[in-house]
Amino acid sequence: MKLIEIVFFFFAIQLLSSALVILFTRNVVYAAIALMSTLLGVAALFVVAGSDLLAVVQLVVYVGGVLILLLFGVLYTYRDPESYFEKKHVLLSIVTVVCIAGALLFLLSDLPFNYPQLETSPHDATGITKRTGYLWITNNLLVFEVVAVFLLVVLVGAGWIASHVLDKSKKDV
Amino acid sequence: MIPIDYYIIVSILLFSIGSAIVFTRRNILYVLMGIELIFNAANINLVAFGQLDPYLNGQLFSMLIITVAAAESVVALAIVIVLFKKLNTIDLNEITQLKEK
Repeated sequence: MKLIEIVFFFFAIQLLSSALVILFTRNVVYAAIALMSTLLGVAALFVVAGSDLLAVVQLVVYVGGVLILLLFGVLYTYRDPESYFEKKHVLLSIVTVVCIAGALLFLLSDLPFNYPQLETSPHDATGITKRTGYLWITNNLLVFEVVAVFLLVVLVGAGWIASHVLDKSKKDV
Repeated sequence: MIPIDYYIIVSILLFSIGSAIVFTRRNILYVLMGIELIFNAANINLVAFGQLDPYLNGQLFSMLIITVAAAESVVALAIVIVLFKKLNTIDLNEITQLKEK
């Protein structure tokens, strides 16, 4: 077994087991920490796949941004974890995971994929960072701009939702 | 290079765990975490297949997905905070209407 495969399996097992922690834990703070572990594992898989730029984006946006927001939400709305918990959910979630994973694995094992099994990726020698930047500002410039405007609209809209509704409820009181 | 089948299997398992979280949990924040897991499962697939593509479409598309996921969780958290302020709960069984009582 080559070193890269050992690294791959280590991070695959790490990310799947922390995803299972999110599924089964009762405490939502633990779930947020396990989510961080999962996202780090996904970033490591990106590195193994040769997409180092994407791993950095994953770290900055998910671990640095989304997870902090989520933790803020968790701590803002914290309540007794037992009040959300029902025993039947454990059994139900095991059944759901087994059903969905079994069905998808069965479906995909039947499909004849004809992608090439290469020894090395064409991007291994140069890395993808320079090429990605070049492609963003040439072939995919319109998509890039649309997403930029979209993100601006979403951020302003989210601020408006939160502040406007809170202001209104303050006036009612 | 790792065979793409391994990436597909990891992403299938991650996707099924994420959807189980979305289906069974009652706390909104767990549901958001499950949605993040589903997004990440999709990203693993896109990156694994994008390795073979000279135009890196998989990588570019998964960068878009990361951006849209960030936007989604920002809006969702704004809604969660407003709901908590108004109804004092984030239990999906108790949130049954958007109209004010």
